[in-house]
Amino acid sequence: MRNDRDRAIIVDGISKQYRIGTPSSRSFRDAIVRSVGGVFKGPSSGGADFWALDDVSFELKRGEVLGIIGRNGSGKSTLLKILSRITRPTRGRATIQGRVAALLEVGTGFHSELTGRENIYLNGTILGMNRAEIRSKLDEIIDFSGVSKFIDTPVKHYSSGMSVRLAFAVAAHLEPEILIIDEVLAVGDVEFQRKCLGKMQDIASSDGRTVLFVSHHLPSVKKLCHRGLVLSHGKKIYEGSASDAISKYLDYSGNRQNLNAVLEAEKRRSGPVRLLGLKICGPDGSESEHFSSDEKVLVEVRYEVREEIEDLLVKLIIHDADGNPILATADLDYPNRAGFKKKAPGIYRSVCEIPADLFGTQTFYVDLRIAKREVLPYLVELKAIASFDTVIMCSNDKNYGDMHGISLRPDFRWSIAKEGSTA
Amino acid sequence: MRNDVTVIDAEKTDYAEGFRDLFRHRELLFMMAWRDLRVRYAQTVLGLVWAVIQPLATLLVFTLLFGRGIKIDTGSIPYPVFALAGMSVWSYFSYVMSQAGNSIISSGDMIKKTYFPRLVIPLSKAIVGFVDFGVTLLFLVGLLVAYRIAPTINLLWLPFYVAMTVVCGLTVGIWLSALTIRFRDFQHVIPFMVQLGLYATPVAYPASVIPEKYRFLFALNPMAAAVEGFRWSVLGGEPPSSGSHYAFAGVLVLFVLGIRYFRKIEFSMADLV
Repeated sequence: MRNDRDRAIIVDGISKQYRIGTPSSRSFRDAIVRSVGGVFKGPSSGGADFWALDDVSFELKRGEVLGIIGRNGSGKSTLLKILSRITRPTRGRATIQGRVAALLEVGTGFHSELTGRENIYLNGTILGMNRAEIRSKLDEIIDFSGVSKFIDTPVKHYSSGMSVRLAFAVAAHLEPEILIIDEVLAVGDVEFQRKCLGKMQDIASSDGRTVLFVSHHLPSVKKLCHRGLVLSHGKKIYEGSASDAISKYLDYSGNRQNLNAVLEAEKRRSGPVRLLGLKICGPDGSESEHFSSDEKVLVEVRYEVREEIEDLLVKLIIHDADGNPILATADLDYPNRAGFKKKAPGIYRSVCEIPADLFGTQTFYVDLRIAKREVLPYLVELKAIASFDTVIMCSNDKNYGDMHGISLRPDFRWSIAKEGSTA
Repeated sequence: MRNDVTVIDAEKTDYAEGFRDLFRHRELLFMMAWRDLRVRYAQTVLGLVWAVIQPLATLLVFTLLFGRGIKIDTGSIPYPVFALAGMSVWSYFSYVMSQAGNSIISSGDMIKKTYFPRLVIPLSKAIVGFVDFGVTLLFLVGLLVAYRIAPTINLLWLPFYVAMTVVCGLTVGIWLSALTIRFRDFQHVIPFMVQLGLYATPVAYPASVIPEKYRFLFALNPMAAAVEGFRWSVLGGEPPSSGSHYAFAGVLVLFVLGIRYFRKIEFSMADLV
């Protein structure tokens, strides 16, 4: 046990199995039928098994910050749920040394009839603080939340932004030795997000705090984490430095094979819209992943609208290899600015034409979102679904040297005039 | 350095650790009870008055129906006192049983998003129930004074019968809450048990009206023993039958087994809810 001293978390071959299809014995009669039938038929009784996590092992030293990245359904959340003891693994073992606090969703246990102040006590207790601790931090929490004016108003009168801020404020003042966090940064307005990120950085960098952090937000993973772990389909595919993990993740998810898997999954999507295909093409319309900087890039999105829908937007977000978003664009579908057109059921194609002379020498990753304008959640959201790279062409008169590491190198209009003779 | 070690293991359930953890979360227990109380009468005009009106109304119906109408013989004890004494323990039991029984299902969101010993949820209902119980007891004291009934030495037994009522309520509640999460069928059992239990328990009538040859069936109902015993400790009269010891012993065994079963499925609750 002695050599485990400096290790805060030891995860050893954790697997988690879920049964899909027939929901497991929800009714008593089923259970009886199954146990009686089992005598004659053996244990298998329909329903496919699905491994949400498959033999994942890693270790985390005291004071380390580990980022876990992977696309939706890769098993990130299941891993955190197991480590925070919400659910039990099917196989494997984990040992955690130190007081743990898990934050899988802000505002758990908030009760709308209670006031903000009362909810601080309730939520704080659920998260594992004792009353004395909460009382000593109460002013700080209220102050951080920025809702002090309404602190004695029932939470049901709060806007969703306000209650989220209050919830984060409570969580941010936990002082565990080990903190497990899932995506809580994606809350509130931009300014509050920045405040949260700052607070997170304080927490992560404070002495001896061990943090396990799950996020889609790659720049904050890079900023906060020492190490990164990439999960895909329940398996660990990479573990290493945070920036290496990010590029592994992007390489892995931006490739063709993955796109095909995503499209396969899309076939099963219910709801008003689903993705049929996504292609990145050169100016001649042929599919490609490699471009020279003087070519335009076409991104073609094919999707099916299954019920009449208004204000539908197809949005592309392009980011660099570190996960920093560098541009966003959408098919603002208006010939007349008065309103968005209705889309009748059918198959649609939106093509985005990215002009030539925009990109530098880089690999770019494309996120796709299909949404009703200003309505959450997105109908389709796929991170790093495709990638392409561009190389600056030096052959023509547009060459002014290779600016390495610069994502955008647009061909802006310049004017040069001589204003007079030398003074 | 604090020596907090958490072991997560697919195979083993550490019962002792479970109880230590429950103790660590004792503040949460009271916090949950406080939340229930705080929320229960939020946005009501009468607020806590409701806690008074409910037993009063039931008592009135019982007195008119059984005391005046059917004229049940309760010996030297005036009917309203007789009925209220029985009702106070029975109402507490049925509250704890039904609230605890539904508690895990209705806390689904919390269970899916945070960890804490799940046993806190049904246990907190036993605390909440004491508020209504206290109000009814005050009533009972008032009636005793009004009818000039002096307590006897039997009163020393009161804490025992109250404790047995708590254990009975929790036993049924914990079993139901754990079973309901796996088999939704048990949700439908709860209102049924509340209703049937009221008739099968000597709340509105004395056990003496039951023919001798069916008395043994009463021994199967631990709440019959708790109600009779409680009434005896407050009002005197006939002591509870010796069969009640067996009923209580049986409940204690079921209580321990219930907690074991609950602990066994505790970590699958988030997947089942």
